[in-house]
Amino acid sequence: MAFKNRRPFDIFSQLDQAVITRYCVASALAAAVLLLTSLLSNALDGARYSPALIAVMVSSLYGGFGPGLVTTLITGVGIPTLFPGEPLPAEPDRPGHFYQLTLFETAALLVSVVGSLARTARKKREEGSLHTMEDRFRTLVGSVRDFGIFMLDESGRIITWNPGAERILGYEASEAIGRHFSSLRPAEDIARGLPERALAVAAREGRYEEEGLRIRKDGSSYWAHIVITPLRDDEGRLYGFSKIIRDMSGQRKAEEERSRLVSKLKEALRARDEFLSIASHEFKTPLTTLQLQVQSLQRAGRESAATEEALKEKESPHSAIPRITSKLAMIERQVGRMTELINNLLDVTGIMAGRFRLKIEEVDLAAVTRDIVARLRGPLKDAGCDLVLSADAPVVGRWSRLRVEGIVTNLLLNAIKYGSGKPIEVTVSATPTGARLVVCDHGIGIADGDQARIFERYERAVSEQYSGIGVGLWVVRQTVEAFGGSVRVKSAIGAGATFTVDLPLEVSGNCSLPPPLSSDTNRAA
Amino acid sequence: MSMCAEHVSSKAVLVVDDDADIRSTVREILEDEGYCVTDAANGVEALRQLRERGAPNLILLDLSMPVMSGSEFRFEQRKDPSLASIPVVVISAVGSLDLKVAPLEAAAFLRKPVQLDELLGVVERYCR
Repeated sequence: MAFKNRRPFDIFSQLDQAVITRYCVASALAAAVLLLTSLLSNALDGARYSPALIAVMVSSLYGGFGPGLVTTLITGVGIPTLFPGEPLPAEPDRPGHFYQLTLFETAALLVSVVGSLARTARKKREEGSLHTMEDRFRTLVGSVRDFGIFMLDESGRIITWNPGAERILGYEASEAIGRHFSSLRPAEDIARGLPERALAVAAREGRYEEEGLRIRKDGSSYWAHIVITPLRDDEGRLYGFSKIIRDMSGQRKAEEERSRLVSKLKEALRARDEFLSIASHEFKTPLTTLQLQVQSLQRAGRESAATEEALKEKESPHSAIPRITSKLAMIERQVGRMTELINNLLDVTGIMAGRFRLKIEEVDLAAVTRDIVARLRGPLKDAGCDLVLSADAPVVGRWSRLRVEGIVTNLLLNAIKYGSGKPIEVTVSATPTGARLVVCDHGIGIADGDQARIFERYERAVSEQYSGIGVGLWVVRQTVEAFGGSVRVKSAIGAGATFTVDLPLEVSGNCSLPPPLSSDTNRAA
Repeated sequence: MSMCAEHVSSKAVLVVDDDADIRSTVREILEDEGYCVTDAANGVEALRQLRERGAPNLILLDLSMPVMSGSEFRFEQRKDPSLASIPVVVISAVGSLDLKVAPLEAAAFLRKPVQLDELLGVVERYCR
């Protein structure tokens, strides 16, 4: 076939072999006929030239006119030699030997001519289809414009060149053919022996592939993807290489642009988190003064109220102090809310930046929960929620106190916010494997489809009617998971929600929160 | 600024914070409780006051400050044998405070915004 690896100049020796084979076949056929005729001489009787005629036909069809003639000659000489002394001339109903021989040779010549003509016609058909295949292949390679496809000889000299190569590299076929392929590479690559190395690798490993900068005829550079494949003949001898070049400049530019945009985006996200971190930090300074001043005023107010109580309000029955004290309480609660929001923002930025390291110490979850419940008395009262706390027995584990406080606070604030003013039950208990905190409200509940989402960053099951930035439950999940624990919710719309946190008593290893890069979509809670 | 010329009182407190409002608020609150309070806007000023006026019973220390931060102050303080034993309570808004505070070996830590009761409680504990 046309695409078989064959040394081009071997074709003549192969033709020689074919000719010899054809004549050998013709001679062998003749010999076989002589043998057959001698064995069947009696049976054949007057038709003794029939097998010879068949042999001539086969020879000429297989080998052409020459081999047909050889078979004719051998059998024409051999048969009279094997059967001498036949009567001459022939009898009227039984042709004589000479007559038969003349008839045979005339017929054999005709058969040889017809056979060789049939053979030639067949050959032409085969060659025609062969040429069609080669033409198609040439047209295929010649019509490829996106790939430079060319052949190199063993030494790396270019021996074919397609329009794709011309388009990519700028050399016409007449300029390229005969050049060494290394001339397509930058001078420093040649100095480093890279072209030779590429051929050596291709020859050794059956393929060489690389991407790199290449030079066009006009001196401009482009980003090339290159595959070099060795070409070997049927005996495995290397006689050249095929080289396929693709201009990847466009793709590479797009890839570089994509990388640039991704790093710009990452930088913008980092800057945003940095800003949030600094802003949250800065907010706390005025809040400190505000909180201390408000609490000082409350304290002064309480002392004044006590004094007035002592005076039995005789002198000032309509004192403003209780009203002022209640307004101060409201201001204090708002400072508390602001502080929680800022703490959560700081937690988010800290977690995202991987700065959320935890100091592990002995912590009583029951005591922490009691403290937080006491601290949230104001918000509970405002929401009209009664709280049933079951946390009498100590449940001591080794966690970060601050983060455990964060877990309890966030879950309680969540229950207060969505609890519809109904009672909230909080239970702290020991389990066989650790500690369990359960916060159960009887409020609006969470739809099945939203239950996984609420633990994501900036996500909330309901948004419009309820304030908040949607990070509390995300912080809870991040913290609980950093401790090696789990948090889950059981809920239905209108039936409240029960959050269950399970913590192991001991955190293994260096406890820190890696930035959750898997949730890059930033949908989190 | 300060009512205390020297840290000789048994209830002397040094407040170190770069925010003037926080300094004056804490000072007022503590002075109302009978403490002798001095203040400094950064670590350098605090060290100078300590060397001039002697050791107070307690230092309330912010971390993020210009000129000399709370951490740098703490490093210098611990190097000076005459100052090293003064208890320090860190008051900071630092978010991931565990990481920054642990090496300071502070007597206590208060997270901004500070609760009044916590502040009074911790000051009382170290100024008996």
